[in-house]
Amino acid sequence: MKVPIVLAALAAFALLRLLRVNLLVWAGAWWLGIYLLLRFGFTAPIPSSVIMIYMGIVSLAILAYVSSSQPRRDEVAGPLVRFMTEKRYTPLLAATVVAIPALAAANVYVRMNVPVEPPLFSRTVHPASPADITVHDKRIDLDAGENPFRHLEASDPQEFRRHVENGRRVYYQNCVFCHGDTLAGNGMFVHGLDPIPTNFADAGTIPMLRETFLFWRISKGGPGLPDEGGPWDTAMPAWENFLKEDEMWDAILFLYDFTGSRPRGREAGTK
Amino acid sequence: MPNGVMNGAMNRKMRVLFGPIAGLVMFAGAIWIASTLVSREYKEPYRAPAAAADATPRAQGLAAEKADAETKARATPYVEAEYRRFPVVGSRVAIWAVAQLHLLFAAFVLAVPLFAFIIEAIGYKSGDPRYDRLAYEFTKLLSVSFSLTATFGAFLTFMLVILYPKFTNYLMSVFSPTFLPYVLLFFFEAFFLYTYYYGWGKFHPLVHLGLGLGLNLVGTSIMFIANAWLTFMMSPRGISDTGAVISVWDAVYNYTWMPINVHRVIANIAFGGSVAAAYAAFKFLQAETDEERAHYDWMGYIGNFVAISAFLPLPFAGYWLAKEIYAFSQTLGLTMMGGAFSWLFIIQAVLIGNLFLAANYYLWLGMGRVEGVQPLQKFIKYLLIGIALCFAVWATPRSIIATVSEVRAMGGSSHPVLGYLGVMSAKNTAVNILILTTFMSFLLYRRTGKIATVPWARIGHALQLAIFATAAAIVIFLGVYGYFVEATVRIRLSVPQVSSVLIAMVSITVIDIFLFRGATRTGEVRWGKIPPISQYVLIFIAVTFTWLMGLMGYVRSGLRQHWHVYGVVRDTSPDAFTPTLGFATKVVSATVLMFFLLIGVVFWIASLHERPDFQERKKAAHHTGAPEAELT
Repeated sequence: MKVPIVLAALAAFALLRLLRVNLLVWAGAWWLGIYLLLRFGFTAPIPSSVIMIYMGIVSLAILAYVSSSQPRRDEVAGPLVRFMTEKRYTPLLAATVVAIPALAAANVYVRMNVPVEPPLFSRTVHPASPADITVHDKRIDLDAGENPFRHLEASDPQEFRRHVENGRRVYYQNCVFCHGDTLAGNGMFVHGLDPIPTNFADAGTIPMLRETFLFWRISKGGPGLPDEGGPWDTAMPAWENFLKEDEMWDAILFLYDFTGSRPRGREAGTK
Repeated sequence: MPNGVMNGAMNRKMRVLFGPIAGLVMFAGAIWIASTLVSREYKEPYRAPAAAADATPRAQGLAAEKADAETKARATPYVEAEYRRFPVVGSRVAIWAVAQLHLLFAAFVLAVPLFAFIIEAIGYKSGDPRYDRLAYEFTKLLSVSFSLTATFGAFLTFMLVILYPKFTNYLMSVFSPTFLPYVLLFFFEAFFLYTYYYGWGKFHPLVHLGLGLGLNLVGTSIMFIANAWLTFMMSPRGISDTGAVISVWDAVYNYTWMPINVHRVIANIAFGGSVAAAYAAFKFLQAETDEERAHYDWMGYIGNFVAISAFLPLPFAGYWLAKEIYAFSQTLGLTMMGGAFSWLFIIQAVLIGNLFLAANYYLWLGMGRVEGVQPLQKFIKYLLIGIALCFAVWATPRSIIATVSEVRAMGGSSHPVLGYLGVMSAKNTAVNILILTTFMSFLLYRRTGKIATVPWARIGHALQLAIFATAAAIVIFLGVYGYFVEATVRIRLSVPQVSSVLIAMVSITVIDIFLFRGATRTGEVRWGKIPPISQYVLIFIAVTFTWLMGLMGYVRSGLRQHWHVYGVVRDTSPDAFTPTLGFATKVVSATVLMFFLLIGVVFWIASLHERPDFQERKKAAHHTGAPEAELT
């Protein structure tokens, strides 16, 4: 968060409290304050699509509040009715009538006057894997299958560590260039890629997935992605062309081991 | 003879004479017209017999072509059609719309008896005739809806047979033993429904309640059978790899059957309650007297209360269903929550958030009908902040729509702060707090205009607050803890979260009942004294529920993607692709619109009951001098 902006917003609210302004002003101040906070208050800026969702919610909430009781409705409607009916406000009312379409026009101008960029991209979080795949002439069941070395974690920790270390070697020889030293999706090639590589350290990525899913993504890469939800535009190669099956399973063990996360287990149905 | 009498006799003679003369003239005229027409009719020109004339090469060619086509048609063996095409919109959209309309009416027809039965039972127990009248009013909406449900059911069956004959045949071969019981149950349903409706006040109340119970049991059984067919399509079981039936019972009792059964029973009640509340809102806005307004305000309140009560546990039933889908197939689960359909869950979150907001708003507006409400109004802002925050968390997408420059500014496709709000832990926490907050709104509404007089009132209030705070703390703690454990453990954490909310709601309600026993009333409830905007809120809730049902129904069905029966019967029709979300929302919106037009007709037909008879209106119009045209 950007502290000066938060403090400025708080100071503005304190001032309004001191001035004992009426509900209509409060409603406007809340709306504007939250908008400014969302727009400028975060160090990593929030995309406009999310701000739009949030502001929709804020608008509904404020409207619900100001109309939730008769005194509140009167307090908000009173100044508006006076503004629209009393003669002394006529010039201001006329200015408002002109300002509304002018603001809309200005908004259109501002929105159109932006640098040319690729269109908004609504990427789905995880593509849907098939039920099974064939890698090096071997059928891998993605629904019922497991990482063949995962069981070693409990039964033979030494052997398990050996597989993890092999996975580390595989990762730093092949994957590091895109996915980065710390697996944060910021390798040296990242500036040339769109979409950027997956950040394995993010809690919303590999901890949400089963190891068989990762195996599918690694072995089949971008060419193996389904038609649904495309275009995927990923540069991920099909690693089955370069790695052995065991090497890919080992690399998966390493990804979880390095990030300290656990793979998703198979759901046990109540059936 | 006076002249006048003479003239009269002459006139009579003239009339007698005129009759036969006119008859003769008309007869002659008719003969003339007929002969003229016959003489001018088209007559085929004379042609020489085919054998006697030389056929032109064109005629020969045409004859040969016809004979050839006939020979070919005779030689072609009968082949069963796999698909047929529906004009203009295509087969999928046609089936989609009809199935959705059938389901919406079926949900209404199953839900209304459920709460009519409950309300009638409350009326019987309390002796308050208002409840009996209310239950009857709800039931009045049933009979026309029942016919429409059955009509749409038949329509859907025909459409399936015509448009998807091969697939329908497969489903029929798997589920053939279930069809006869299904039809039989329909007879029972009709029997119970009509005796329940027409027998209102004609039987002992307990006998009548028994009929209501029978109606509900049969209706629910019908739904369970139909659910088996559709869940089998999503998570098939009891068949071999080639699709041959091994066990019909296993095919029925597949992975998603029971979660769908439970989810639908609860959702039907919520949906039925909201539509009945919308009906009451519509009548409230039409009402001309205070008495009518008071009645329909109360009816709307009860309908909405039923809807929201059922709505609160619905997300948990949804989680169970999603868990079973994951358990059946990782691919289906990922397609649903992380893949092509994940964005629909953001739309769902926005809609459900709106529903919660609207439900709370209606309760807050309802406080206005109670005198002496002011002390509790001040809490609204805190509840609202809680609701808005939870709504925002729930609607935060995991994968954000962003331009390339925005993605680079964020440092990745997920935001470093908001990214945490896009995952299950945050959303589970938000929905549980939303439910708790809505419950608190209801509690505030319930105690409006009352002051607890029991000696332990202060301790009671403190205890309620402590339970609420503890439940909220547990929910938030488990939500945060969920970030540090693996996915399967995190999903299991939703059970204690839900349990703490449910325990809090039950214990706070129990305390409240005893706390406000013999409470002093500071003001009466003035039914009907509520701003009209509240009624539009009720209509909004009903429309949103319906839209939500359509949308989530699409997700459930669309998950199969290019399969009729997932992994077994492949969809090879031209429609075997997943439509865009925009297209899907348009189809769902059009269907919802059609449903409300039809339900408007149902409301109108139900209201004919109250209309005075035509003859009475005619008499009344005669007395008041109203023109005949007004009697239509």
